Amino acid sequence: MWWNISCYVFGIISVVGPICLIFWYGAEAKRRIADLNKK
Amino acid sequence: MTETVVTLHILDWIVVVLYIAFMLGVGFYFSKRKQGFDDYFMAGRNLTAPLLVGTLVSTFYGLDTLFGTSEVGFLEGISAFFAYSLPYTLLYIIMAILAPKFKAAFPAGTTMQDISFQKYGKTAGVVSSVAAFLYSTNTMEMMGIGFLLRLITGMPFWLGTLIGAIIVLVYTWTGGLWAVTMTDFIQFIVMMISVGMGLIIGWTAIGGFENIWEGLVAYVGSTEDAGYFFSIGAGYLTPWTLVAYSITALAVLTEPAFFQRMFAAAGPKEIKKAFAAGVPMWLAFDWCVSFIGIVAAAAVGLGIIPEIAPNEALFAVLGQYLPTGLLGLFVAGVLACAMSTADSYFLVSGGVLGYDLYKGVIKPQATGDECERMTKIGMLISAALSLILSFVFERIMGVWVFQATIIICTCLIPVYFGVFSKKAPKKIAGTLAAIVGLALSVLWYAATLIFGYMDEDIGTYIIAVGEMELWQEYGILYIVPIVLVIYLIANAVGKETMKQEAA
Repeated sequence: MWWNISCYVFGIISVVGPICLIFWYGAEAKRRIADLNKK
Repeated sequence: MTETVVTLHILDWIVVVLYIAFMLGVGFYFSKRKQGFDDYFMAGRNLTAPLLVGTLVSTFYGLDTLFGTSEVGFLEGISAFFAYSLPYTLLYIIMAILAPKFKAAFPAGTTMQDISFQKYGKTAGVVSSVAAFLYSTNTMEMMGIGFLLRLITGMPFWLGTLIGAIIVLVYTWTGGLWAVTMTDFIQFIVMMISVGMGLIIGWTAIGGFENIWEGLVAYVGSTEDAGYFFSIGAGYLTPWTLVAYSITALAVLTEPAFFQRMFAAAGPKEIKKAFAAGVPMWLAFDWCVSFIGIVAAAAVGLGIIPEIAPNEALFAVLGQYLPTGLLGLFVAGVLACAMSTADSYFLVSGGVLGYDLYKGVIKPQATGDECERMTKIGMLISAALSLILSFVFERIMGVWVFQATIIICTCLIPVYFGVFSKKAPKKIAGTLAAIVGLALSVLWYAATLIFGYMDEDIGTYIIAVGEMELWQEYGILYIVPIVLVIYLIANAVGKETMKQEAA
């Protein structure tokens, strides 16, 4: 039971983690562009 | 041509070819927009946290992790994760704490060897550079790509390694660290998603834990032996095997590619956030790969896949379960694992020649263009050396032990004492420590090959002294304390520091 759950949890982290990173990268890029425009 | 372990559909091949073309395109794009050596080698010192996560995780996880951990999972069960991967995780957490301090202490630093040059002078810097160059040769990844292409195409090993070296070299050569970081970011996404989906689909398709257990009992012959697969701790591994696996994890603390990324970060906070966000990614990747190995062992027991070599477990089981297209993505993910590590090390080893040795020793007034040219020559030399060594070494793990021993023994003590000592360290301390560390690690490795014997079960060279068995991996345990004592004595009796020399 726990092994099933742990495998799905880590599997999902492995799939969802990189997708979150793409959004994070997008947000950082947006913030930097806004900073540059301010300067 | 040899027999292939998995057969790819045309759609899978399209995914793989598109992936490779995309990597080359990224390299070409960044070759057009780079401005000067700092932009080429340090990505303008402007890397943000999400890009750093991608490049840190994907660089340190190569094919040795992918095939090695799944192999241990196939043979030993979850000890692959608890015994092999967790020591690394602990050191990533330590790096999350230390990396911002390095960045703050050396805001204009470029390489780890820079620290030796600045704190102890040229001799220590050159010796550290030699160690970093040897560590950064891509032998493991070249062997891995050759092995992978043999598995999926049946092509000869030498041809696979040559093709891999050319592809990676082309985009690293043209685009520098920007290209490496952006391709690493994409490669990180591909490799993480492919192993995550591989585990979810494989685990579900085989029928979850109940069927896995049944398969393992059939595979090993008894419930007691099957129980080792899920015993948290060492499983079949003896405490000494555990020590041997864990020691080389210290290389995390002296990883030249990590130092290059730290110094290329936009600030100390960025690198701290990157290491902190990277830890769950490293953990998830390790868990998925370990359990895919277990799924493969169960699949053999259930007769779903035929008996296979342990290092073919990953491919055999995912070749069985992944649908067309996703299998191509997985192959691209495996290639991504290898390429993301290989490109970083090509650049790091090129930088040793172009920056550390050429600008640091031979021609301090060298222009950025000259450094870039020498870095590219360094990459070519490193690629040639990697290819030659990939035919010399028989075992992938053998290469890793050699490289980890060299970098840990040569750089750990001088670099950390150099940065974190309150008083300015003495030149002689770092110089002697680096020389002795490098010399002893090479001598130890040679001694194990000459006087030791190969234990096929454990997969390492061992020197027997009476009842004692000295494994090749244990060199780090003897040499680092010797280097530490030499450093402390020399620092106590030495007189000259770099500050005095500058004054």
